[in-house]
Amino acid sequence: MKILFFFLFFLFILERQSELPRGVSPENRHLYLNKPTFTCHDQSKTIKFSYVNDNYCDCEDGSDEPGTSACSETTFYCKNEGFKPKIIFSNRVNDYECDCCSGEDEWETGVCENTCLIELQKEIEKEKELKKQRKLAFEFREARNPKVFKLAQQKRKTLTTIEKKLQIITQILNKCNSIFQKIHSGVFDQQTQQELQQISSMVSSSSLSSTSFWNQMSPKFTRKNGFQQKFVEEVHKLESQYQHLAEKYLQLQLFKKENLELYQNYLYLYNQVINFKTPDGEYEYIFKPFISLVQHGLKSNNDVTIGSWGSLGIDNFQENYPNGEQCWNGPIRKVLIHFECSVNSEIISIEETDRCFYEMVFKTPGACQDIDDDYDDDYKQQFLKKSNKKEL
Amino acid sequence: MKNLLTAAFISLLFLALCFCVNESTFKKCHQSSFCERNRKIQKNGRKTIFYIDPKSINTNPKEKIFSADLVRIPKPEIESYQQQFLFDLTICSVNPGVIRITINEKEPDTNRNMVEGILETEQFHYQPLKTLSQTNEYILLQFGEEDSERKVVVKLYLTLSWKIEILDNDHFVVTKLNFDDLFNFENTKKQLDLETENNLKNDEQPIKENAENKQESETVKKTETVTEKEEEENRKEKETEEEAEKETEKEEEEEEEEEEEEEEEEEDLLNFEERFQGHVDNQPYGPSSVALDIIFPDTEHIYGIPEHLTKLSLEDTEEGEPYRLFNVDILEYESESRMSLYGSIPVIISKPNNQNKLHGIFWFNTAETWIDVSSHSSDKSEQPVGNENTKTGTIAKRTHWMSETGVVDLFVMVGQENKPYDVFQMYSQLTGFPYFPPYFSIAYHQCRWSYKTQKEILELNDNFDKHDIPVDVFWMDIDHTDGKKYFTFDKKTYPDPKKLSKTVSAKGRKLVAIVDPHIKADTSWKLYKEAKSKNYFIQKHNSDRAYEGDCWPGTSSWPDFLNPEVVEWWGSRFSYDKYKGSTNDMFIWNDMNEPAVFNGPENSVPRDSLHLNGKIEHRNIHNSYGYFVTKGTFEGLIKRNEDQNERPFVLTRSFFAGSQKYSTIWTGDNTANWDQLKYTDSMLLSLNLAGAPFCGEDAGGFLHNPDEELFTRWFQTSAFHPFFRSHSHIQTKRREPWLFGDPYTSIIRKVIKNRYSLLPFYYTQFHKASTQGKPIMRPLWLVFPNDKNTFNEEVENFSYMVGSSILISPIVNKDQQNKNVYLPKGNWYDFDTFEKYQSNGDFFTIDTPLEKAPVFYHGGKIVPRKMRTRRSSHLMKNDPITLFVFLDENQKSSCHIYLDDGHSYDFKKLNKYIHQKIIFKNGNLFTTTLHSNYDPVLIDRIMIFGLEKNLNKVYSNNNPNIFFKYYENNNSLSIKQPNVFIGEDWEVTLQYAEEIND
Repeated sequence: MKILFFFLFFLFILERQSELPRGVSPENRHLYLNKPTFTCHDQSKTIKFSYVNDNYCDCEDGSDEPGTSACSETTFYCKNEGFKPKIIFSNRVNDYECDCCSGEDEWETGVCENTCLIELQKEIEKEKELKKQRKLAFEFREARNPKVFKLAQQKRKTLTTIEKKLQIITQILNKCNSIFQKIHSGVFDQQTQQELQQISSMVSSSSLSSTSFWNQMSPKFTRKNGFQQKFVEEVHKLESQYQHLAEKYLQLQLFKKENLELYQNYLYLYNQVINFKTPDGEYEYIFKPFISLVQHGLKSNNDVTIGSWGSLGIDNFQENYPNGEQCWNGPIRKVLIHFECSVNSEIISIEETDRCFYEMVFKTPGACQDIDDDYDDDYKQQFLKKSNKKEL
Repeated sequence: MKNLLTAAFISLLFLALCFCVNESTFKKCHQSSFCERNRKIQKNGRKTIFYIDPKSINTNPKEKIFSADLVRIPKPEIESYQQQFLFDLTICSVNPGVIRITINEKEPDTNRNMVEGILETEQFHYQPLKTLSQTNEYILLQFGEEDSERKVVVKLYLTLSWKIEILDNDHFVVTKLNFDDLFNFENTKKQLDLETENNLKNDEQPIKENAENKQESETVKKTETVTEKEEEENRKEKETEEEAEKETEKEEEEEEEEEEEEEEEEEDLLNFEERFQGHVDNQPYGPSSVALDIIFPDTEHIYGIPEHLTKLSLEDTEEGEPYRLFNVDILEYESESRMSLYGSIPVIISKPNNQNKLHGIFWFNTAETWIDVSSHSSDKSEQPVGNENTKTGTIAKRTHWMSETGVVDLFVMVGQENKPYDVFQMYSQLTGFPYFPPYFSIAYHQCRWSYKTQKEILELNDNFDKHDIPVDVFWMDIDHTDGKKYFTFDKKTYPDPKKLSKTVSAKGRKLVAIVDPHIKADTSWKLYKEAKSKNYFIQKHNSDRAYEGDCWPGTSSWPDFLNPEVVEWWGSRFSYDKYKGSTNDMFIWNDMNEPAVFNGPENSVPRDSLHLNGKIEHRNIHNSYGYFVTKGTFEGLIKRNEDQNERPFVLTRSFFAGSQKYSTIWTGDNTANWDQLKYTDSMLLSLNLAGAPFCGEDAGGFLHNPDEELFTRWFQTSAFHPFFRSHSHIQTKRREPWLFGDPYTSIIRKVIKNRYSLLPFYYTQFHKASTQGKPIMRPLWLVFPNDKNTFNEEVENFSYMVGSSILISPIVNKDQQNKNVYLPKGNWYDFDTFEKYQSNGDFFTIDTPLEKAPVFYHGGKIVPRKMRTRRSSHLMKNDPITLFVFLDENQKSSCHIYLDDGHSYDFKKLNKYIHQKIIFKNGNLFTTTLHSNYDPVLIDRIMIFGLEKNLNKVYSNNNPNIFFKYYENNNSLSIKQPNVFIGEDWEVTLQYAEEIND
């Protein structure tokens, strides 16, 4: 019943469309009703209706020539029966190039064959392929996500410990700073001694890896010759520990709650390394998602970080990796990553599109749409059947 | 410390931001010893006299050539005894109106003759010579047929110090030679000879006149010693003067100064070498410069000697550097500078005051050349003699030409009254008419250094369509090659160039590949091995080994294009079987052909390198190297097709006189800033005036990033230039037209589409250029020679015409909201709105919001256009033409139209073309067919502007009632589908309303 209705509707449309001047879309049908006269859409002029599509541009807005190339800046509507309609620039009409699968854009030159059926088949194949791809991508992600989530729990713990440690070190370093100022200006009073002992207890109560230095803050020890130098050394050690932890902390940002949500489709990329050699053999790129993109000169054997993960979030399938190394005499390097859907993760291209600004095309399952997106191919199937019948 | 580092870093950045040419790479006049020597003669006068030996005069009319001996002697007050040195002087007329004057050593020690293969000697028609009169003072020679209006009189003074005046048919003096006594000819001398001579000097006997050859050569030797003495004196003077100069300049550039001082001291000690920037230039024949002063009497404006980015009219150089012609690869060249750039055309066009004439001179010398220009009243040096039309006190332009070596070979092209375009015809007959390019090449080109993969080109191919912007050509810069080995493709980035070419040519588009003349010194490369084994490379000084230098591929050698066999061989490399991956839809770009050498003196090949197996030094031919590269390429592109019937397209950076025969010229690596845009039009006008009309620049500026406004403004003028290409440096942002977004992209789209719609008009202009040598871009004064306002600096530099039909007055300043545009007397019509401007020679203030650059149609001209602007010019091939008829004050208009298949030589070989004149007169539009042997093209609409009367009826021979509409508001008429064709004879008649009433 549904099919029959559809068929009737189709015939109806055909019937009505046959009245339409060439190149007019069904939505604009009302503008081209066959009257003795035609008024340009900008109301600038009224002409005989026979001047519509007479291959001569009468209206300044080009509305009298929907089906020819006579006017500039206008469009032509291909019905493309059996496939999707298409709107093309009027300057493609009768230029000996096939732009509509139906060939209706070359109505005068007649150089085109109708390829709509082939196009439709191609499209169906493509959609099928895409659907398959999406399914595979989905499965791929689902299979890996539990592992990552489990990992995430651990990592979150680590993250909190590091966070605490960083806080403590910051406090200690602040204190050390004020102590150093004093010692440096020759003041070593009771208060200083107390503060040193405070630090000592802070160090021992935290799980910082530290030397025995901090455990022996007796006045006797602190007034020894060479204490000052030792103190500075130890502060430096703490500083480098801080650096180290901070780096680790940055790398674990992904496991922050908000980031896990944001990147839920991409979590499988954690701990992956994706390599890419440029076609000219100049460079190899080493991409560590959520960490960095490094350019390795194959001839110079020189590594340059061109972008570090900034946890800025994926926006419209694009993500920035700012803060690469500074260019010689130039700006700081940056990378913009464009994500595209694929079953496998691979880099398609990396180019320096502006000075020290790189763009990378990266295919990965995370960029595939979810499978529950509604996608109706019924109507295509219908058309296919119809066209087959016609051909028979 | 950190702060210090930052500070250091910032200063580095600042340095990087100060973009300017590294001037010290290139010689100033005082660093070029011959320029310095000859300029000194300007100041101090000379110590020798050149006179014509009356006994040697030969004016045999049968030979059509006047010849005489020129004798050089020291001035009597300087030397008591007579020493002489002999030169050959010849004067002839090689074509009507064209005088050739040559001076050469009688017996030079080396080959200093001009290079062969530049002049169109086969086209020479030597004119009859007649001696009108001869006195002790002068001899009057007439060249030309008796009844000709192009007779030229040469007045040769036999006084001490020779002089020549050239007079046109109206007895006006066109030029004067050597009136300032700056002629100089340093004879060649071998170092060894000189030493032995010094020892033998005292034994020599005085020599009689009319001596035999043997004796003559001895004379030669003797005089040489004199020259040496002179030079020593010169040097001494130089030293003292330099010291004085240095003191005044001390404050500036102290460090540099020190270096220079050292250099110059050394230079002065060594007679046979010259040093610059650590490079030693061996001069085994000693200094051998030639120089001459050429005066244009009663003349305020002279033009030419491209290539310089500066004002069109040549300015006085007394206060600074002379104009320099020495082809160099220069990075970040500057605006308003007389420094030399990539190419040289030693041609000057002169416009005498109060005469509607243009004359020209062509200083045929391929060595480094400097030209000083000054304006002095003409009473400075000459005595009034005979036909003296120049009143004392009027301005004359004086030029002083100084070339490093070579001979004097001067052509003077004498124009006629009211025929200002004659001079271009005469010049083109000498060095060749511009090549007639294929149709696609006058459309829009998209280039970048580099589209690195063939995929990128395919993306372009799609993106232009997607954004509805027409384009005809995609360019492949150096990275498409396999390791900068030209004639190859990188297998990884361009795996299938044939397929690429096929894909883009499906829409009629073409590819251009770069092929530079430096050949990678790679013994595993067949091409290199072949060239090396055949001794095809330029040789190092004093050796038969190939010269090696550094360029894109690393160590490279340069083919010796002076050798015709090498030119032939180079051409053969373009055959499809040798140039694997090339197709007949792929054309060629010759870059770096100055030639550019990264580590050479002044970024080029050392002057003491050798050509033709040691026969001639590079210094002799330097400026012509690029010319010969394009010759090889052009001829190769013709020969690659079996029928040899396809027209080539070749782009070159370096050029010389004659390059117009083989190549299109672009102005090299310009910079994206307003200063550069400002004088770009003048730069191209100067090329057009010097016989090379097919030229253009990198639209948008090659180096650095143009902002949206600059880029848009640039395109608004570039779209009217004969060659229209966008190009950008590898370290700039991508800038394909759609990347700027609206309103910019829309404006650029419109501008490019305008160019496409005008292609039938442009093609006709190119045809005129290729047959008559006419410039395509013209200063206003060329079209309106009697309008003095057109010589106004503002008008001359910031307005130009295409043909004589369209006037463009581009916006070359940031934020310019309006512009005062000068319109010569007559009717003018706004390009976009068709609004009519009636001018009495007035300035009009035109509003110039970003989307508007002032462009006007010239009343009295018909402009054929194709209004259906499609994806490429090829796809518009079968489209109808719209005629835009712009009426002058007398309700008249006309044009020529030429068309053919746009790609082959059928127009020449089979006469397959259409050439018609279309005329509007007395209310009738009709054709005069000059030739019609090609498919006619439909005219689908005729627009007539400035029509004063309303109409009753429009009809043609085959259509009694043509639909038309008359618009009272702007007096325009639109005639719909008159059903007439270009290529057929027809007449469309307007019947005025009044006529019916009568």
